[in-house]
Amino acid sequence: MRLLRTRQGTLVAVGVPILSVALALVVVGVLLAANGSDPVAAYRSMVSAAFGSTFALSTTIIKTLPRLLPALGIALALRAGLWNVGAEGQIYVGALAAAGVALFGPVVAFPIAAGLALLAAAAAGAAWGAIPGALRARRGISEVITSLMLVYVAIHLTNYLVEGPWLASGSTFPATDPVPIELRLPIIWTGTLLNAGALVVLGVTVVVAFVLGRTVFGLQLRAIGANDRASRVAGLSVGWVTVAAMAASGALAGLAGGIEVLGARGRLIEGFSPGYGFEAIAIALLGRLNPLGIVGAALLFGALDAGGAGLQTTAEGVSSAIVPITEGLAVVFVLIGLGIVEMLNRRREARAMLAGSQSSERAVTHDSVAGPVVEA
Amino acid sequence: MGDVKHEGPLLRLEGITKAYPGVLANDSVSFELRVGEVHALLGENGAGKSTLMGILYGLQRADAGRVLFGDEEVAIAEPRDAMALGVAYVQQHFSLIPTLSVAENLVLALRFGGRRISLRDGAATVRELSARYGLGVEPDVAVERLSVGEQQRAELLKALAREPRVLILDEPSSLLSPDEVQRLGTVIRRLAAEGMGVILIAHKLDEVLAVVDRITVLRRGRNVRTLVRAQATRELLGELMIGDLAARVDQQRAPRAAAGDDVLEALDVSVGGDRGQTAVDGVSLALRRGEILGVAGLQGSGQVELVEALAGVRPLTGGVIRMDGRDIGALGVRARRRLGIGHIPADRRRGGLVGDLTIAENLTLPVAGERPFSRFGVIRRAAVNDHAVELIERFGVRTPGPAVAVAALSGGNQQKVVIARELWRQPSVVLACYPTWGLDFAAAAAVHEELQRQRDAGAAVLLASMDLDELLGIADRIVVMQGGRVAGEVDADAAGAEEIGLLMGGAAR
Repeated sequence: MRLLRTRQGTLVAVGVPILSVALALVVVGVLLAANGSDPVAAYRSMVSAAFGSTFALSTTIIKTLPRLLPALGIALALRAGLWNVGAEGQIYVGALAAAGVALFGPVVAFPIAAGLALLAAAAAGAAWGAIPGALRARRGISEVITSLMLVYVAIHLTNYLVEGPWLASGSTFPATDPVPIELRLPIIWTGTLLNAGALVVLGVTVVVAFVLGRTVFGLQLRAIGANDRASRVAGLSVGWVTVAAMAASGALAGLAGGIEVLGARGRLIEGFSPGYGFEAIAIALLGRLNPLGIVGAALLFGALDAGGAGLQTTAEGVSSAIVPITEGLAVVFVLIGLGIVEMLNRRREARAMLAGSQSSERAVTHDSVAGPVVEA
Repeated sequence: MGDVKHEGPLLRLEGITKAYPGVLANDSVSFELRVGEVHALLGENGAGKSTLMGILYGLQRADAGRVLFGDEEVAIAEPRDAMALGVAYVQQHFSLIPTLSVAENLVLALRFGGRRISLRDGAATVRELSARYGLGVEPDVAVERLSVGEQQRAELLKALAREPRVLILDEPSSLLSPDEVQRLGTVIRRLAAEGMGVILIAHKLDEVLAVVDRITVLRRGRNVRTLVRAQATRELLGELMIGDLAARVDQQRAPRAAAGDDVLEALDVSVGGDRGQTAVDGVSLALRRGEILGVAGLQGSGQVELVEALAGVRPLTGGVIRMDGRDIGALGVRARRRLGIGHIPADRRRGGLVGDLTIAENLTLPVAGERPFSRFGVIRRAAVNDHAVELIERFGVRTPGPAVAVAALSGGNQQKVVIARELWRQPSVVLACYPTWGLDFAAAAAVHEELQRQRDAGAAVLLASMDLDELLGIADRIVVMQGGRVAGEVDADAAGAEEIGLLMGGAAR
């Protein structure tokens, strides 16, 4: 977790991710060139498909939305020191809940109906996130394992429903009936497919940033993430904050699932998420757990996704597989970069400590050098 | 120590100057070590002792000055150079791998220094050195199973295996019981008698006086004086070290206050430790209003666990805790805080403060949910900030401002933040565990003053400490813990350090 420490200079926080993305693009470019493709042409067609027109831009934003909220959720949990790797499952249960409200909920007018469905989506995601949180808080079971396992429960539950009881009548394509118009998120940018979900995501992003930085809950969450022992001594209920952080994390992912059902897809489709919840982990890390950084990272992933789709239609012989390769490399480089920064910091700290204006800080300052270190 | 042959200097540091941003850590400091001499380097925290030794050991480079071995000037750029010259440095924190045996640690350390020996030779070396200097260290025991004193002797042994000419010991007695300190003193004298030069970095006067030949006192990065043992008295050294603050030491001991009623009672309390052991085994004690109860003990005596149990951080496995007659054993930390318990935990960095958060955030962490610090769950920054500014002022925290991360503060200032957070509301019970650990004299004195102020204001104060001087200095009554039990109780006025020392070590020894 030390890698994710947020107490680092802005230069590191911004510079490392940007450099990492640039480096990833260079490496992929070299790979393309080695394969006989023209990397410049490939990148040009990607940029054009992601930003080249109003429609391209809206596509990038649409592709950003389902990644942004889960990434914010993951970051929220990580700030509390918790690895919610189950966002993918929380997306699916959120989608299920929204579709459930659409199919069986009360018939009410638009904003209320859609609002109800989105609330249900968030609540379902919250429940899915709270389970690993509670298991961790009560029994000390690793939330990594449980949240990941719940992903498969959620996916297969979705598969069962859309292939069986919820399958659109007379259809063989595993999806529900389209969502009634009262629940559809309307298009907000004429000439594109961008829907009102974008506004919801934007609003929620601001709320998350506010909660993290300005509320008691946010403070407690950051406190237990940075030092749960000291938090307990200070009287915080570490267990409660753990459950709440995981629930909030799940709620964000669930909401993303709901927005997909009511917005871009218009119904619940089997396998509609190609792994947004997993990509979101990478986005959270690339964005350094900072809401603004995550918005940037999610936009990058959205643009790569949109650009990758353009690639297949324009650039000869270039596979869109370069997109996940680029994404993966970028994250790997970020982690390496932060690792290097951390190593340099530690070395400097250790030296400063030995240099010692604080030489008798026995119990206190040595946790970074104590432990299994051989005298050098 | 008349048996020392005063041969020529083994080592000289001349005019060493080292500046850090804003601080002149060493200002033209000189130091001389003779063959067969034990030379103490004395000074408060921040006096420049460790910087000077760091330069000698190649951890830092001096901005100016020379290092001479014999009459030859040497360049020491890194620890390897120092090792090659025969300098060994036993640092305060141990650099032993807990899961490996002593012999394995030795072999590994030597390999790092470029010397390869077999495990069998390593074990033989351990036995030989251990026998020669009476270290009592077995080669095949895993380090994690050794006591702190044994670990330190293993560390010393590791240094000796390099056959150094100069041995630097940094605060070697800080974690040891009185008889372990004595034992270490014997070892040090023997090393010196064999011709080794030993530099002892220290700030405990009595222990220094017992073993050294000469003493060099540093203050604020400068030489104050170098004196031979015969010239040195505790009082003189104290004065040289801390200058005009010395007056405060003597006044420290306030007349004993009349103790009031029992406020907090522990009855037959048992508590489990981190490794599942029984850390506290049936302890009963009572804290009285207007009294400082000292709890003496060595590391692992159960003090920490007892304090944590009283504060509600650690669950009881047996017994009852009563506050003002009410059973509070089942209450959580927050509820106990509300009842008026302030807790200064053993380890301020791991247990007290959240290093990545700011001073203001740390100060309000326990009360963030209350008005005026927040409303409807939203933090009111102005209130938090004002509160922090006020406490920073009141408790004398030295910081550029309340928005600084506590990790950036010095130990003394971190502790002031903890104390401010725990004591600003005048709690009726103060639980302080090792509150001055690792602090320099002035910072420790400030902590003592604050605890006494709380006592005088009517609080029941518990002070758990491993430092007898501290307990004898400010406690009104002292309970000694050993092996998780109360080994005895002594009146601080009458108590001799010896009696407590015996109780602490388990009188059987």
